[in-house]
Amino acid sequence: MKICRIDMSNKTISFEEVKPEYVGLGGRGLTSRIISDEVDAGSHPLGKNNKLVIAPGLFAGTLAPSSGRLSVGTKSPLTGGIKESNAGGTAAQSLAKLGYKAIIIENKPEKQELNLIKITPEGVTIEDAGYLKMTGNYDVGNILREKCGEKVTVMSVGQAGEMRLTAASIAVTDPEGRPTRHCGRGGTGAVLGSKGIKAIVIDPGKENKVEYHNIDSFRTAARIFSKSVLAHPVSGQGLPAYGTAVLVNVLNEAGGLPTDNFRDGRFEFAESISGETMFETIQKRKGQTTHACHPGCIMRCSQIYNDEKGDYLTGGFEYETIWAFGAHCHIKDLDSIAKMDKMCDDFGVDTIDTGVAVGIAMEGGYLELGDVKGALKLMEEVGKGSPIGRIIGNGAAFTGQAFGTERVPVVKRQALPAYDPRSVKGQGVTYATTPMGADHTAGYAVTSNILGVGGVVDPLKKDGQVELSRNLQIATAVLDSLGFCIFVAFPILDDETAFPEVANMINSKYNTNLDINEILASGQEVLKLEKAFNQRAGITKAQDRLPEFFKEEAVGPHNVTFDFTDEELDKTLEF
Amino acid sequence: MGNIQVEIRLFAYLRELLPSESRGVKKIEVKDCLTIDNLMDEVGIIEKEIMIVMINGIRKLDYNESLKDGDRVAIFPPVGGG
Repeated sequence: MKICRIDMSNKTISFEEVKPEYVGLGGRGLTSRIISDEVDAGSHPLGKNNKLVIAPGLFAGTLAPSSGRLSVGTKSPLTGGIKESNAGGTAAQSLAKLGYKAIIIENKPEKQELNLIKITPEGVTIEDAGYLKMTGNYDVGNILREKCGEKVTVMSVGQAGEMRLTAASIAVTDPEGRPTRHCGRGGTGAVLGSKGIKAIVIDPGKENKVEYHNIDSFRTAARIFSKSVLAHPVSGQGLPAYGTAVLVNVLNEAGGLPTDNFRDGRFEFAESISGETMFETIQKRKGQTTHACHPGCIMRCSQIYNDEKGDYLTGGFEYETIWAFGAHCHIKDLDSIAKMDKMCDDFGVDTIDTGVAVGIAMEGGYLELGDVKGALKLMEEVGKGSPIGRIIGNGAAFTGQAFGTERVPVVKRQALPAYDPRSVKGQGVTYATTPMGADHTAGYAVTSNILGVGGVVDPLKKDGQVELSRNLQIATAVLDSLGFCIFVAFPILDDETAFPEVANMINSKYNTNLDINEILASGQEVLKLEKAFNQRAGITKAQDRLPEFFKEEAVGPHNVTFDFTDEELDKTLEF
Repeated sequence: MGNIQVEIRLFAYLRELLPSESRGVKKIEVKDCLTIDNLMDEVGIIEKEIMIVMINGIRKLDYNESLKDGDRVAIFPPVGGG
């Protein structure tokens, strides 16, 4: 394995051996370590001193199921702290097959420019990509596949990344070459744009350079682990059939579906935007209800959503997106929400922060609540780069400032996703305390709070939530480092034979002898490193808080507030 | 002992247990001593132990609990996301 370093100030490319202390790191563990080691926490996120690290997980390109997540790490222009954002798609596997442990992009061109990085079996090159100026991710993919070959993976920024907006994402193409998978959160696309990079094309060639210390024992462990994933009712049946959108009705019933900018826990039109409605619509229009975002994913929770004519409209249409443009904005038309999802993918913005921002524009009086035509028009402005479009593309916190609104659901300036922290309290603890800013994936307490996976913790009570969030945050840091999709957590939490097989896979690939506790300790180390970076960047525990209205205003139907004390929250990652 | 009315709300593939036009939602009259377990039998739900049951938005683990008039009973098969 090797690390490729790309200096964008003078367009030099160098290759390095992996330092011994980096050998056991991958994905988030590696991106956070390199950012922590090499980036001064005081750097401007869009300046020459910030870096962007791209790293496949430790299991990328292996026989391990659902292990193709790609991590991107940087100092976030949105939160001002360390950021790791991961995505599916085919990039992680392609990089691993080529033998890359990480790509480090540093410095920036003196003048604003657009470049294309090509990573192939022959090496790495940089060329001008001015012809792609202000081109959306869908067209970028089409143009680059024509130029570089049908089978390449394309990572790219849309208009938003070029404009360096703080909700800008980095798109990663799926197996069909569509830019439906995104490192969405925290503005990583703005950092890539600031480096003068429009796209990275990865051609894995034919050879797979992934090596195993003992492939036979790896294969055995991977087989047992796959069986566990497929045997679990959520990862084996629920996710493949309905995708994540099934959560609309689940959270609505539980009173945790934030509605009208977190004014209610239930949405009267939840059924119109539900996973069940989506499933029927997809079937009727001959889309695909089940779809893998990368080869080797056995859960296949993605889907292809067609328009009324039966033509492709969007894919990777997730619960959080449907919530942000739906219940949060009081919009009940699933087709319109699908169009806005497509626009987010094309312009390259995070669907959560952007959808929440549209709701904040409604809060601020720019649009009427529930104005679907207005929302669609507003989204089009993001791609045009008009002043109002730039406001929205900078995310919820910025939009709140632009409209002088107080009610802005963010932590560390990152928008809260689709679970009300008052009625899914474990999730609230994660939003407040993760070093990433409000992020549901960082410690997905919905498992025990709502889904009955990994035990049961009452979502309306404080008991056990801090401990639950802590344990999930540690385990998630491990999964993010291995490159696993976090949905493998469902079997891991319920089947005690699953995690030992993860340890067996690590040991048989890397010739180690780690036990489960040592593996979990590595997750704790990642969090410690990230917290320390944030502290150096000026983000202290004073920012580990939810906006005050969650403490003061009860949400229906259960009439509960977020009632944790600051001291209780501070214990979450105190280790 | 009289009768009470409850609203049953079925989701995902459990909806196949009700006529499709109902979209999984049906108000039914039941005896006032009926438990969650009885109701699941009556609707035809098998593998009861893996279901997620919420009454008025509160997760229920004890299926011996009796239903009350006006209860909103939601039943989900194992589903998830994130």
